[in-house]
Amino acid sequence: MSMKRYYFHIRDEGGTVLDEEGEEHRSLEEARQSAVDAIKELAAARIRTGEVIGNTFLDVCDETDAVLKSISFRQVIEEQLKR
Amino acid sequence: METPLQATISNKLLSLLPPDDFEQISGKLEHVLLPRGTSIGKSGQPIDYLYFLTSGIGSIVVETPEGHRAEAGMFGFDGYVPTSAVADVELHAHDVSIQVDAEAYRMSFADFRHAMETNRSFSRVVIRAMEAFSIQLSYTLASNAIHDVTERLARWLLMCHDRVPGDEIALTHEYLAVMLAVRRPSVTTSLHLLEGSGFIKSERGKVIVRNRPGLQEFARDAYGRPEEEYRRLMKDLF
Repeated sequence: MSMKRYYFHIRDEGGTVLDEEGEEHRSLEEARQSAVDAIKELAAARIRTGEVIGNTFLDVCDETDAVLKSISFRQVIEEQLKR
Repeated sequence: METPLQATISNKLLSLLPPDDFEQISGKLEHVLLPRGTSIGKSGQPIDYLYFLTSGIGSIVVETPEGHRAEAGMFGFDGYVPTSAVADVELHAHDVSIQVDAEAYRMSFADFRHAMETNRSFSRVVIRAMEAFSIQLSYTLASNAIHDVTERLARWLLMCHDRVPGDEIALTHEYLAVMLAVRRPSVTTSLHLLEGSGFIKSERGKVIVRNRPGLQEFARDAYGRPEEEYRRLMKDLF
């Protein structure tokens, strides 16, 4: 199975933090899982400092900058609350 | 093997030695080039050499039983590794590797132990350096518990900046993520914040420090004490 590079851009009302480096994964699903783990860490940090999380999204993109998956921070937190 | 001239040596510890004491060990010093990525010690392995860097940066990394890694300490021209050798310990406790291309003078473990036992000035300097390093470790530990990623990153960049000439530090976000034991996007986000404040410029594969005083002010709760202690410990030794 070949590795592909996926880019994790963080988007909210203030703008987008571009990931110019990316990371390699064997599949989009694996990339998505890594993105969810990253969101948990970022969201937890923001909760700790009282920062807004509201409408923040992590866009998983390929080298052509096509958005393969868009994951909202809210969604990840809500999933956690359901446990 | 060419014997180095003390006047031209950039390692702080070696340059501090009184000339006669330096003479005693100079023949034991071998000049080596250590490119980025070179491993100079593996946890559990025997200590073959002690390294006194004259340029570049190295990292001491802890790896847990389940394979998690985090950087414990950083060294450059300011110190030597592994510090455990002063305690007569023969095995590396951590993984030590070079993260920015380095040059160093190295000395065999046997020669180091001999110098510790016969050269009072030498043992004084390396023991002091070990204490200074312990202080760095303690503040890293505290910072990891107290400060958020952005502040920890700022501290780390300042420590690197102290150890390189110029303002450019070559590193990837992936590498920083491993050193700070966080996920890569947290590094990207924090670099973006520091860049937004004008302290740094983040480019592919490198970070450039643009406003050192600003970065230091931002990290004032996280950076500075170990560096003050180092200066205090290394002053008026002889």
